Amino acid sequence: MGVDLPKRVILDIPDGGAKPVRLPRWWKEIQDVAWVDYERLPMPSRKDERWRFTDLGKLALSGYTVSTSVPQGTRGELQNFFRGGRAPGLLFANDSLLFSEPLSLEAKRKGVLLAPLLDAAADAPDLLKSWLFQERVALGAEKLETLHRACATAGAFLYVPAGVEMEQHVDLSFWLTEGNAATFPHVLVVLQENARARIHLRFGSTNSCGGFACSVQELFLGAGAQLELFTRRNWAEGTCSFDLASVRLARDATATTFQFNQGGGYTRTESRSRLLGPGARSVMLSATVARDRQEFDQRSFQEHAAPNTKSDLLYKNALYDSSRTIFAGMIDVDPGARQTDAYQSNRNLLLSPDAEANALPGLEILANDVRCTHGATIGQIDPEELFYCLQRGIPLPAAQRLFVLGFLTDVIDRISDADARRSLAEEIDSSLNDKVVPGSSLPSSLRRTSLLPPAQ
Amino acid sequence: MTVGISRREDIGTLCAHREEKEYEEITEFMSLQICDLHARIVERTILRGISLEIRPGETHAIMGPNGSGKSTLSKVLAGHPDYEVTQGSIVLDGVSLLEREPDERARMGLFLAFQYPCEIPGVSIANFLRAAAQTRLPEGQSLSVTDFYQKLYQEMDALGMQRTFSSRPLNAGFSGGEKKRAEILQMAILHPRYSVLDETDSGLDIDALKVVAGGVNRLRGPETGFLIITHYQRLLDYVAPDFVHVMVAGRIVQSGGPELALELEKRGYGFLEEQYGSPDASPLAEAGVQR
Repeated sequence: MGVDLPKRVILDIPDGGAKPVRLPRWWKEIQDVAWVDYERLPMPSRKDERWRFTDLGKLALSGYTVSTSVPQGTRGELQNFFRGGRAPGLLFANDSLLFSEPLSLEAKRKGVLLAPLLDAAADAPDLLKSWLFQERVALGAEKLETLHRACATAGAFLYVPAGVEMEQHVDLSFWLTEGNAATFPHVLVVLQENARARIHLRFGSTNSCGGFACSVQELFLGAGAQLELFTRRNWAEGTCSFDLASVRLARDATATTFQFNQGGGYTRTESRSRLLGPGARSVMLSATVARDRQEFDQRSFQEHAAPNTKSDLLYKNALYDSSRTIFAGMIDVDPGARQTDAYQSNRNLLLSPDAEANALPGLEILANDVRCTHGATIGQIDPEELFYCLQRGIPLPAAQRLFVLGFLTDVIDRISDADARRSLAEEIDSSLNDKVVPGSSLPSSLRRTSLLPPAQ
Repeated sequence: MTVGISRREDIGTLCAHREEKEYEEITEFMSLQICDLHARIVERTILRGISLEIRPGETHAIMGPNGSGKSTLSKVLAGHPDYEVTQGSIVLDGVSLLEREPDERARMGLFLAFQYPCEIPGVSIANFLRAAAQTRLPEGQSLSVTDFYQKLYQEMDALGMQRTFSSRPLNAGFSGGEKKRAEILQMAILHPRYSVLDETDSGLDIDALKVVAGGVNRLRGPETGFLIITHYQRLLDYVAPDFVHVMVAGRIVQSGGPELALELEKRGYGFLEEQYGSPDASPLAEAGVQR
């Protein structure tokens, strides 16, 4: 038995080989094809519109190791984290499944399936095969998508049969524990007609620096299905990560996705909503707090392929220090998609003169009788508003924190689930508390010249 | 010192004693003292030598025509970065304010009720005031949330503000009167030693004016000083000042008791502007040449 992963060019296989993974033949074939595609596809280039503004120097695809083992201490740390969840879920670290919490008996009885992909491949191969890797999700990162397909074995499969509404949310988390480790998480969600689920998805590191992550989310919603997906990303400093997600919505299905981004080095998210049935609705929300030299590269696609569909995107970025963000969104309305209602908004708050936000909102409308609006803003804290806060005794870092919280409030308030809203608000609040650096990034307009009387 | 007290405690007791003593000493010098203050914005000189001392327990009013520099004085006191002090001093309870940032000045006990309060999008009154109140506590001590809300609601009731207002974003979509009430609310919660009210009466109808004046009067006491900047006599009917000063072209040209405000109301500012210069100062005055 060898390693079931294709031959590596960019990824080192540790001495003694990666942990052997037994894959069915159909899956191995997918990997082999993907690897050929990966080698054929060119590296991203800034000549490609879809990579415009990206700092390609931050894309490091070499020097990582797959299937790195997880040290015992880290395992304990993650177990403590996992216990806090008290919901069915799966926790992976460096692509190994560490912990799992089963579904309730009732959910199982109703036919809900929550399993690691490898277990599903053994226990429900036909079901898995009909959904896995069926969606082409990339919006520019095709090379990374093929790399993911060639390498992914860790991941979760959630299947909810028609008419089943899950009471509890599902917790999925994927971790990197070593700076040289690579991870290829895969999230596959199938909600059949009128099914309903809530998912809390987390990507993070237990180490302090580096790593490589390339994840794909395939989300399939049958007619009338409802999905709420809350994603938190907090990779270690210097991590290079890609998260490519596509949600497919049939007639009257509704998806709400919320992403909270912080940490990492280079983080690219490609988020696609495919409104394929009439009445489908997708709400795409994102809040990002960028610091240091972090770069968040956000690409989105709202595809209206049926009449009476609605999409609503709001991405808000707060940028400290020398951080960068790129937002490039596209609303695409097919000829038959009459009465489309599409909205796309990207708002950026610069907290430092060295921060850089790039916004490229886009529309392509091939139908009549539609309502599409898009817009982007890049701004700073109003100096008079800041002075007002300072005059109340609030020091600059705390004042900035208030402004950032205020700025992100309307994205958070869009979450209808009260528990998720509260926990995300708390997490955002504490992420701002953690790194209040005194004297940081004073807007130049507020740098005070000396108020001392001139020397006589 | 009794035997058995550890050295650490010993030092602690000594320090506490010393702080108390210093406090006593300082009380003799307690005041907001403005001395020969000159300030400009870009190249335009606006304040041309203001001297004024406000002691705890006193309420001063500054009146004057539009453009005389009244609002500039309030912003310079608070440390607005657009203004440059070119001469003079501002001393609060014996400590110079000039080299201090606006937030330090505020924590030292200086409050400015803004003429045009800013909207802070997405930040509720309650969260804003909690952040402000928290900064006044010693490091490591955190604000009691229950005490805070109790006080907040008490003051809101007194100001005739609905309690639900506390969760609304600060000043966003507030009417003029609501904004001014919110300023007085903040003043009441933060309880500063010296408050500067910059045309708080402007844009208020008579009922709102009474409520706002009531809020100010509740805060008056032997330990708090007020500087009320106003264009009209109206507010002074409800908040009786101890001293009235008249400002024209960046200088205080006349000081007196409450009767001065009444006289100004009758005669207007015209005669003083003729005597001491109009706000549209001549090039000579710009250059600092005395008339």
